[in-house]
Amino acid sequence: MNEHDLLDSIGGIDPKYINDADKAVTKHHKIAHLGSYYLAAAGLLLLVVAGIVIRYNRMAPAYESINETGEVTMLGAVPEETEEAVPELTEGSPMVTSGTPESAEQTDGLEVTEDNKEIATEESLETESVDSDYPAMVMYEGAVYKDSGQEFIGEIYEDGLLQVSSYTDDEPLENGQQNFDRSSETKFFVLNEDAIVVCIDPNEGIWRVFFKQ
Amino acid sequence: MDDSQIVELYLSRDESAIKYTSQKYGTKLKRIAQNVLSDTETSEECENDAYLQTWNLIPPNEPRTYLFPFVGKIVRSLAIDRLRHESRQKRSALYCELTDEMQECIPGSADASQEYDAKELIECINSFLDSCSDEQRNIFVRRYWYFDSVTEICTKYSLPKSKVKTSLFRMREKLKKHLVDGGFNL
Repeated sequence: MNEHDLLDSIGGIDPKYINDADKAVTKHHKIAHLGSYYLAAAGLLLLVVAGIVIRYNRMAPAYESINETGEVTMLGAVPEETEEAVPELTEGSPMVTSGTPESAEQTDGLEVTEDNKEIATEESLETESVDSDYPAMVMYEGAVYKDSGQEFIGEIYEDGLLQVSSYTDDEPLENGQQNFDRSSETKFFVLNEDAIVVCIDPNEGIWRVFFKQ
Repeated sequence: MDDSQIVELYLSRDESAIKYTSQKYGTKLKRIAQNVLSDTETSEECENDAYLQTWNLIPPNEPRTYLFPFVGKIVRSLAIDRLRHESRQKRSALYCELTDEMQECIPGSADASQEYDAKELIECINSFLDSCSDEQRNIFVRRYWYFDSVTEICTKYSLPKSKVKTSLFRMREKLKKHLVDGGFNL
């Protein structure tokens, strides 16, 4: 027996092996099938990711704020703990503008009316000395003095200092009345006929010029 | 037309059987001859000779389920015979490569002659192929029956060249051992 005999004998192998070798599925086809599966899976994954991104984008604006404790609150959603603490707004309440009790929304300690005017609530005013749409004003000797935003740089004489007497949410209507300090301990002095100088921040020692209206 | 119908035409001595065989398997048959001979004209002659032999062999044979292996075996054998009658210089590089590879499978010294039963040898090779995995068997058959080149096998099965070569080498070693175990030992 030699190599030629062996090669000849291989010619007589079982026909099923010959057919199998001819019909054998090539890995190209398998890879092609797998490729289509991979494509389908990738497409599905893209859809899922796109869905998540769209959903996130829709929800993102709804996150109103993160409070001091790191709790995220949703716009319009009232936390369970504080739900009961929210007082019912009724007509005649000092915090509700007349005629629009049902339409008022309360956000960040401010009431928003239909006119989109924000009015400071009691809660906010307890903690914030100047937080209002009105400029800081003081009434002195029948005239209203309005904050010019201009800081006073000069000597302050303790002897000539005066003190406000009351607080109002609105424009001052009485002498000694002001609308920015609930404690009513603000001091001021008369600079000239048209201006007074008001200590708007005693801690920092900031004095500002208020001009007569 | 399926193989059974074509064989039926052969059995009824209908010459259209050859036409249908050529239409169905002509390309593959010519390729086997081409792989051995590396010559298109001679390959076509082998193909035509194979149809004639098939015509003569059916009946008595009735290869209803294995018409292609039946005609393929004839064309393969004709191509090898034709090549052996050529001078050694004209033999294709592939055929030389194949015979060299087959030499590795021969137990004992290659130049020694031994009387052997061809049927027993075929049975031994069949049992060897049966013991191989599908992938190994397909590679072996493509290489030594269809005479495909290693590159063609790689393309067909999408396998790296190194894997096909390693697989063929291991199978030759295994076939040699199988032949020794089967009593084909000099």
